[in-house]
Amino acid sequence: MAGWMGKILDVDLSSSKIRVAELDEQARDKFVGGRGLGAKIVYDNVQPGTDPLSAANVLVFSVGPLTGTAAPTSGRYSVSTKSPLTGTILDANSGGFFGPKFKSCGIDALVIRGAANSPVLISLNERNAEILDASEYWGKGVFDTTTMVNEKFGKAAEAACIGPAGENLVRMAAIMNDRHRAAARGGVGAVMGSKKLKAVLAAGSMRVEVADREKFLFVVKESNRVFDMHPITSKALPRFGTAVLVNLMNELGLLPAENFRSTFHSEAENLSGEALTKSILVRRKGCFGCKIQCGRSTKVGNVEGEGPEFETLFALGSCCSVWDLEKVTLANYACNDLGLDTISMGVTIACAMELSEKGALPEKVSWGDGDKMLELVRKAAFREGLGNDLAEGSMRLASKCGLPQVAMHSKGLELPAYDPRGAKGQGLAYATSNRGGCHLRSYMISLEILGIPRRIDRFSTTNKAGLVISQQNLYAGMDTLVACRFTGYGLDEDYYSRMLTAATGAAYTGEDLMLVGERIWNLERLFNVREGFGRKDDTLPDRFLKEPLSTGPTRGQVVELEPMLNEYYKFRGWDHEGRPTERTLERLGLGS
Amino acid sequence: MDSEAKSEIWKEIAKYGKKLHDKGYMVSHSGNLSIRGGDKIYIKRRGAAADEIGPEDVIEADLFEEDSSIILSSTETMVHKAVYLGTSALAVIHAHPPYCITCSLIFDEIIPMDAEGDYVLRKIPVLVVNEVSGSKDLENAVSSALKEYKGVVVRGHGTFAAAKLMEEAYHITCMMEAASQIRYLVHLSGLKPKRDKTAEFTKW
Repeated sequence: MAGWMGKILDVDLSSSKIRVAELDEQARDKFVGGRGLGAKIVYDNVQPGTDPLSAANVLVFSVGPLTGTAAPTSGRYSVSTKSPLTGTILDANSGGFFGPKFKSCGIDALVIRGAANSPVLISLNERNAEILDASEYWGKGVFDTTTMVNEKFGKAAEAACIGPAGENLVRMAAIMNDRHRAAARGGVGAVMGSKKLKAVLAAGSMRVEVADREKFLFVVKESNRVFDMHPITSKALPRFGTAVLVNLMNELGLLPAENFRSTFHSEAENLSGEALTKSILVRRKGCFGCKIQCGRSTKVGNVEGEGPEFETLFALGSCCSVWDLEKVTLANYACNDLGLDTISMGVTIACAMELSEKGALPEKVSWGDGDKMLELVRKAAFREGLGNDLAEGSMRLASKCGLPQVAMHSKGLELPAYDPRGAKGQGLAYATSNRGGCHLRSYMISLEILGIPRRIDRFSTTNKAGLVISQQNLYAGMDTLVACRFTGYGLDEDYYSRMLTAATGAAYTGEDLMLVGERIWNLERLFNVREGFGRKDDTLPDRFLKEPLSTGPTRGQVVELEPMLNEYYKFRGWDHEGRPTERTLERLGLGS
Repeated sequence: MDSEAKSEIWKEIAKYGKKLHDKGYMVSHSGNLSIRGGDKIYIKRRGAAADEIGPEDVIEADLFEEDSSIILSSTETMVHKAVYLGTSALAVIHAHPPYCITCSLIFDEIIPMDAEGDYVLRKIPVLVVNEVSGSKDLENAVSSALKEYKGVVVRGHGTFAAAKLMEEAYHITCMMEAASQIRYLVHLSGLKPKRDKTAEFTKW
């Protein structure tokens, strides 16, 4: 069928066996691709209780039916596994140019099992797949690895690789491509490192066929017209990058500072999109097939790189009270080269700063100390000294120091850049996220702050559950394609389903895509339930539930989570403990 | 749902009932609007004046089971339920905007001719059903069409708009009426429009 390549490559690194399988039609119809296909493979192949860093875990690279086509932002790929940071099911995705190259090898997914004895890489093209020795790259940073790989295999080969953080099994290690693009969250890079897999190289050249070219190009044209008309995709993101959010979030009392102890700070302007544009911006950048161009090529002194994005400005900036843009940028470059998730790294360092202030850490780590922050980033990647504890993430670090309440996470995943006391639906979104505290499973900020499609009362809890669920289902549906979240500022399920229909020839309505998303969400939940997760884990740190802020626009607010959670479970068709009921599973085609 | 939350929902329904009435899209007591909250829907009571919806004029009905609320709730309650069960909508408005109804009597589908209309709606299907009020035919036709379109018009009857928010459903209703008005006025002029996307959006 057009859109899909119809093949899954299965590589066992323990036995060095490589097998090509047909894409199962039932799995394709129910889970489409990307995150959906990844979730299905992980659910079916990872036994309950599996150590995520053992050979028994699987790592799945996958793309969707729109990847490599003319659809907007069709350059992304998805990685799925069991997370070493949270113990939940996990997926992370990344832009850049790796996705289309991967798909051009003629596959929809690559399943990696087992573990090699020595460093290897997997080299792919449309004719062949090989496991090659990677000893020469082991120990190298992402930038050097990418350069060396390009020198050896040619520039047509795109690499998704890990840095030292992944090699050293740092629980927040990312998989990097295009030097600065990251499948960042949850420790996908550590799983890759545990398999002694340094890189996946893709150098395919197969074309992706679409079923109805005329209709497909018409919907693509209309989608691009929406981006041209929408102020966020045509002005805000291209002009300032994602950093455009810094000033707004600060003014509304949502930008976390000092490990989420305050949310409004006079120095936030230093980290703003305006400041970034004036001081370090070299040029705008875009991923494959994207006209939004939110990426930033930047320069600090003689050092060139990309970023920082808004989330990084928060995590390595405001959350640590480091208000020096250049230091944040250098720490960002370091994370990219070492292969680290900037959100988890920054929030874990902020946690260390608070622990240090409370006398619970043996080493002095002061608020606002950008040089120390940079040092700790490197130490975490190599697990040196205090870095060895930071490499475990904030939840384990704070527990070890006897103050678990200082870790700002949900299910072990460090929270992103929006204090939920200022957007209570976002609080429910964090608490119920299947991969832990995350803004990309449901971005209630679009409704509660940005007013897309309409602004709602951010402090109210009424009917937030339905909206969170709707976004969770939509985003899971989008992640099967694998579409960039920023397209969602302009497009809705109607556009995606029409592109999907035209690309594949299979009829999808917007509601069909929502249903696919709901099915994925419930399958992921089943995985987590099987691992022992439940209501007790669908929560937030007490800081958000019991400690109102004393200053700023969000003062006096806490998240009233329980009523929203009750409504959420009811809405989802789950029982009181958050387990999907038989009736729900039956409806979604997930029944036994 | 606690009483405070129910009160918020009533205020939302009353606010948009009044707006729709004042714009002439809900004439006197006609039309209805609802919000989904978990496994319940909250819908205007049958026969309640659209511009004077009080707390007791919003009826709570079970989404999945038939219950005794049917004695009070709107004639179109089952259509609202069918939309919620068939789509991911969280708010539904059924109104009687005059230009939409007029166009539904003339055209087989309404393609907006103005930029805002085609940006928001692309195409408004016109549904033809035998029994236009509260029938099974209507339930099936409306819930099925709203899987693909934001708003629809039932020929000679009125509009249905579904969205995640009541404000958005209201916006869609207003856009349908504005687009229909423009199309009707162009039609009435008898002149050939210099901008017309009908051919393109027929395939949407």
